Amino acid sequence: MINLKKILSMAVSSTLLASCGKPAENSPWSQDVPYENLTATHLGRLAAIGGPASEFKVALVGDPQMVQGDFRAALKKIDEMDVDFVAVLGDMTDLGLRREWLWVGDAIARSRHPVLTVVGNHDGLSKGPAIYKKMFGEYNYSFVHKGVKFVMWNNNFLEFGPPDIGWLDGEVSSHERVVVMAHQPPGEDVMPTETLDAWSSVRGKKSYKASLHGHLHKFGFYNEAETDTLVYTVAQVSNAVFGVMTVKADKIIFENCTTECVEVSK
Amino acid sequence: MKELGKIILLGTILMSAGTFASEGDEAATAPESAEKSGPEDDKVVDDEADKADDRDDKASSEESSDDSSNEPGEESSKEDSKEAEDGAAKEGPSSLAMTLVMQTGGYVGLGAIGLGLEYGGVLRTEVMGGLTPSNIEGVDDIRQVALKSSVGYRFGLLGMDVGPYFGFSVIYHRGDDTFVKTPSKYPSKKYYPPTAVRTAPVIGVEAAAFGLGVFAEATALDTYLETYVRGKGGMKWTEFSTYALGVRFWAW
Repeated sequence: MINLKKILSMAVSSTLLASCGKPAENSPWSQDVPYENLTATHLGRLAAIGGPASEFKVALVGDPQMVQGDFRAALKKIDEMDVDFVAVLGDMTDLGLRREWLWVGDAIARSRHPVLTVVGNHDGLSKGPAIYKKMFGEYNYSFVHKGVKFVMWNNNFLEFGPPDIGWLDGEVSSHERVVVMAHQPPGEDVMPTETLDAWSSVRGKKSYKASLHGHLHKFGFYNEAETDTLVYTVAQVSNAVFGVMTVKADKIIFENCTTECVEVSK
Repeated sequence: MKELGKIILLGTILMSAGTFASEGDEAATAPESAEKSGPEDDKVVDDEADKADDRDDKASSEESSDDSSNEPGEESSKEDSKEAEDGAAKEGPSSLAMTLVMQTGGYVGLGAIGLGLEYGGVLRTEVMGGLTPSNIEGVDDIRQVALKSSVGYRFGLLGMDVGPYFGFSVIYHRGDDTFVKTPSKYPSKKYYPPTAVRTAPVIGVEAAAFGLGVFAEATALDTYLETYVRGKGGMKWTEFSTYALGVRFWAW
């Protein structure tokens, strides 16, 4: 028979020992996260990266919500690759709860590469918006890396209100080669028609070269004929899958990485 | 920390499995418990609590009728036994008891206080209000309400009632940014799950004496458990679980 008293003593003592190691979690809805201004920090790291400006790679990760173990595994795989930075295309959390944000912060902290993010619709739940601002910074931001402007745009209409199309237009118009990253891809029917139309008109600008997204949890790639824009959607990082974008002087190439990275064609 | 967590989980599960599976044996090795609730108490299980009450009453009346036919020496030892029984009854919960509980952590707040009912020393339901003040964590005070129900087992150890319990908590936080019913701005009622309510399984151990108990619990939020499973592990036990510590008073 199991020695119950011995096991009970072990359970009590180990619980107490465990409790000495770290504080108990008081509330899932707490905003108390130990990370701040990660966007600025990682942009600083990215600015320090050298190498040829003619060609570079960016790893693309989608929707780590509910698959944080896979997210870590993907970042570990990406650590061994030669990419300039990792872009997480939103939905880092499922319900915007504190612990979910901690997992994201912990994973990013372990990454060898700079990690930049866009906010997703699920990140807009509960205390998510406030925690994102504290952990990362502004929802909309942009930066230029090796001659390409990356525009990180919050287009989650229902959770954050109308997307700032004017800001997007200004960012796209101010540079000759622009890649836009936003969580939701073109055509998402939760956006009002006028927003979709306004965004389509911005995509029609010559400088708007590619539009990168998550949200659909599956890989997708096409060249939008009416705007001549490459539209790429990365699958959810479940099973540690991700995408890679290679930016060359005259073109942009996408690869879907499952067991290995395979170039996708239009 | 990972190993400690595993020990807590495994230990409590094994212990509970063992106790539930071998209650008769345990009663025999726990004289304090057996003595406390009468000769038939080793048959008491949670779903037979009503019957247990009846049996206790019957046993009690049988005892008093037996007393009249006892030898004087035996009567004295019976009285001693009855006194010990009464004393023990004061120390721990009887068939129905009201509880006052205070705890910290376990997703219920930095500090939480509540009332509950306990039946037969094994079934318990408590309602708690918890607060996490803004100056401790975050921007706003977080007020929560939790309903915690559990089933457990107790046996005597070092003069105390000790035992494990299993249960679950339903935790509610009302805020401007949380909801139970999906707001109308979303395209369907099931667009998002409720963000104001979460559940969490709980396993704990408790030691009680003189109407006062202390307990330690391990718990993990439903979302966190699902994340662990769907992400195929990849996280330490302590990354998706937490604990609570608390005290409990039995009012009657």
